[in-house]
Amino acid sequence: MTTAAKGQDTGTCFHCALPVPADCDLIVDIEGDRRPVCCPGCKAVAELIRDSGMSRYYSLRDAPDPGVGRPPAKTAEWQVFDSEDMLAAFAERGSDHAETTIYVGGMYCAACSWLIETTLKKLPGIDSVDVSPVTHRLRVRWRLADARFSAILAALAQLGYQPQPLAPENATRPELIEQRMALKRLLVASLGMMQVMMFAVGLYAGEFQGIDRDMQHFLRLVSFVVTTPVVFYAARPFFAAAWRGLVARKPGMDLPVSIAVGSAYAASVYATFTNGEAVWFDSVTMFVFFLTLGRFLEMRARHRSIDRSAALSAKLPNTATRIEGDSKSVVPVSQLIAGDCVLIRAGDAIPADGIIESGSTSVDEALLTGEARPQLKSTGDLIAAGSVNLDGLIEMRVTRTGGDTTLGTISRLSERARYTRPAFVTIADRVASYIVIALLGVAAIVAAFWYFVAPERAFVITLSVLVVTCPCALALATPAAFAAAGSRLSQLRLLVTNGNAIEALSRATTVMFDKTGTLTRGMPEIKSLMVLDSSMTEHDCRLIAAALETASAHPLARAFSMSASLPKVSRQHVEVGQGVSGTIDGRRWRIGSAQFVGSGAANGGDSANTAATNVFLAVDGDLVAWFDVEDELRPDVAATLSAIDRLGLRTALVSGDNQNAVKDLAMRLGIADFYSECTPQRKLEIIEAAQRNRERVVMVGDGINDAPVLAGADTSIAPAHGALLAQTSADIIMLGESLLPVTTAIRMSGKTMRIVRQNLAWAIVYNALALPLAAAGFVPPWLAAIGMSASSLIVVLNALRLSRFD
Amino acid sequence: MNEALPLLAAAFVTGLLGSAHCFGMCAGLSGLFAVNASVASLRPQIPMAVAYNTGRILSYAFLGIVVASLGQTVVKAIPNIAAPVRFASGLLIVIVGLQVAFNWRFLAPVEKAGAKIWNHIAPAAKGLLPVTSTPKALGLGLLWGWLPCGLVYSVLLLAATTANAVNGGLVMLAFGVGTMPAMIMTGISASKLSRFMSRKQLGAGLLIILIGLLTLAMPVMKFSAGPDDTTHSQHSM
Repeated sequence: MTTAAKGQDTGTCFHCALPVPADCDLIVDIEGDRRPVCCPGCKAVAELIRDSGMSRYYSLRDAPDPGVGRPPAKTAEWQVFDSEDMLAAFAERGSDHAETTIYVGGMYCAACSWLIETTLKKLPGIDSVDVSPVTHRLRVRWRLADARFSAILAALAQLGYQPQPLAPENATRPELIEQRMALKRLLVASLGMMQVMMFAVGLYAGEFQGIDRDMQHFLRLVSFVVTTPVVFYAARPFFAAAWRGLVARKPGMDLPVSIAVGSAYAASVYATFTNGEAVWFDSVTMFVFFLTLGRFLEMRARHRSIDRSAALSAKLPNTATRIEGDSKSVVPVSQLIAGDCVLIRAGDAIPADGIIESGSTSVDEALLTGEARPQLKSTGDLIAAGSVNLDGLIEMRVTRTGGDTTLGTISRLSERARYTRPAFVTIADRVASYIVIALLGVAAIVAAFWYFVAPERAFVITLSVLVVTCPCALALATPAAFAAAGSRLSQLRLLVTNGNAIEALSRATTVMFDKTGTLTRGMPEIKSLMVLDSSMTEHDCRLIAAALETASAHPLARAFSMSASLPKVSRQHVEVGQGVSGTIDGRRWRIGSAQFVGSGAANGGDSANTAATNVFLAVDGDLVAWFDVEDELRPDVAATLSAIDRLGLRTALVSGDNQNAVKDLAMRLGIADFYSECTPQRKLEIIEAAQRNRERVVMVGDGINDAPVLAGADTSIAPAHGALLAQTSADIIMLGESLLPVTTAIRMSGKTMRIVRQNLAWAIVYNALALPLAAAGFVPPWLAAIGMSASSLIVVLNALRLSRFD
Repeated sequence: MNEALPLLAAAFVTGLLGSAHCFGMCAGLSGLFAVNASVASLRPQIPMAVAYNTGRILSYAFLGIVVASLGQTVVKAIPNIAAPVRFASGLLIVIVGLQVAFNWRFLAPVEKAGAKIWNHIAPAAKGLLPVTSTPKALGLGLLWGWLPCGLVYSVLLLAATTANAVNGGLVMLAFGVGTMPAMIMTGISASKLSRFMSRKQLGAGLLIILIGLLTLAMPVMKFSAGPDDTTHSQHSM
């Protein structure tokens, strides 16, 4: 069907775009236009679509021809892509042609892909166009002499899509290729199996009813033809892996699989051409199909978590509109640097982290925070790369680009987990070798035994033993569960950055929470201010406090930040978790806890509002003012704590804050165990004491000032604080505002380990039962194939239950 | 049982690589599932696509059972017609093959008659669009099986010649299963798929013709192999 290119010719069917036969005069009336269709079927469908009020389908598909009722394509804006540098960066360049992949934003359905293909094929010099509506990607090849890259991009932009050329490494991600190959193999295996099964039913029926030899021979020949690609194409990864295992002297489960498939196929071919007793083409195709299916499902689970990080990077546009003075130019995002000013239109993704210079809009930050509601942002607000500008036109000053952005950091952290393999999986891998060798040994003994007892049955029985005992279930049991758990957690906005985290979390007995920035939002405000020194105004105090706190990374310090011009501070010194001291105009100021500021503060600390944290300001040892700083609780704190209680875990509050504030919060939340005014050192001691008590501690904290505390706990969970995300060493990161994911993670880890144990138990029991039956000759090869595959499918499906966990 | 095998195979191949036309016609429908859905959520559409296809195939199978029962009645009523009918089904497979290979449309008049039936069904289908839930998708699939389509009609004729309700249903089932890959893979580049199909169309047609010729030859082979209980195996399904 090359008619897509002919598109709007009058001779093509309005609905299916195929040529209308000369003798056909069918017409459909769509929104007042009489359109030719090619057959009653198309007519019926078109009318149905019209009558159900979905003509929008056609208007989406049939957006107007380029040039009709639209401004001419703004090629100039895209011209930067015509340079040799850009071609080299974004396209695979041949001697006279170039080929590239373009991400097409705003593409919704099959009709869009049709429209894009039709439009691009009308441009001169275009060799081929392939659009995938699922991945929103467009593959285009053009002749350098006749067409320009910019013209293609401009044509797409003019249709109302947002084209983004993808650099080759983005376009062909290895896991995508792997998945495509696996899907092809699965298709070949399944089609082959269906066909061979059909013939096999004939053959078996024939055995009972009598079948003439010609017919039998014919069916066998056809089965042979269909099985061959299944063995040599679909099953190829097994042979390849078996060979690699042999070369590395670490035979894996692919070895018995390969021996079984290879020998059964060879024996069947031999029987086919010598009119032998039996053929096993059905068993071979079934075995290969189920193995491929099991692998495919496991791979899907594994990839789904990667998909998410890939989705993260896909959200980042490849180009941005940079404003320099009066001129605008489209540049690749990779060329943006901090300080650039970029224009962001409604519907565009934000290309880098930055601050809005002008304009206001609402942005969708779901990707980064899980918050589905649009967030209002205006001049001066921070916006993060990867969020989407929903309605306004804004100009943004870039602050961070590429891997330094919040988005880049999240992607990098989720990559990290992939490189730490759970200890569990490593052990399973190591054991698998020995199991395989043992199984091959058993198969050899069985073969030898039957060779002497009943030589004619030796081959079939050995084949069954090899197939039925294939330790696939054993090999899949653990990785499938971890993969499914990881992908589900990432959907629940929990980013696992350490492969061992799930296992460690499942053993947790105690959850310790940090206070500021963890139980609270970490966005403190000054609620009230009491000035004790009559020579100072409130404003003076605020200025001095702001100046001193610039040095502190403590979350409470944010409450003091001001955009006024601040007094100059010298000899600034930060006492972590306590306060800051510094010299202003020759006088020594201290700001921080009562203890830090000095004895004078203790009396003044008798604040009426104990719910807030008191911060004291003193000069040369005399108390000048105190601030009540309050930080709102995160949503769902109470629900989270009671859920953890119900799980039977102990909770504790460990904070560097003053006693009143901590005690008050602990009482309100019903936490019996609380520790206040802790230095990082003290927090670590508390954790270690619990650990000596055989407790397994989960530390929930941002770790901004106390990274060693997170490292000291058995598992650490950190809420994501945009800017400081990159420094986090936590095993698990919560991306949203709510604290509830902590409970989800704990429950999920328990469930995961339960499923791992179930899977292992099942695999061992199955193999232990099946082996003797097969060795005794009770299991024909086709039944062995079903048994083996059923056992590994059970394991995979059991693991996939985790992907519905909530 | 053996008798029906080539028919099943022919029906399957017909469905699998049947016609670029059907693809063009129904590919848009998969688009319809997506029109109202947000781009991000492809996954919820998968159960809907499965339900829709299941419904469609069930309809085909039902139609197959109906026409094959009719065929059965005819064969029973008229003595000595069984052999000519079997010959006719072989011939029919060849014709379907020609249809697929060269995009011929023998059954255009029947399509017009089918369109009349569809007129009665369309209002029900309208109520199911846009497809927003799995049951709706199933319902739409059940109705979609009745769309006027020459290819379906020719395979239905084939089903009728089995003169056996079960075999007739199976023939249509095989055809429906054959159409699944194309319908499911519409998400993949539409042009790539249809280009692939049109390239394979000639080959598929020839393959179907070959199966038809074999079907024609089988009774001959049987007779030459000696007397065989043909009536027995016909009921063996």
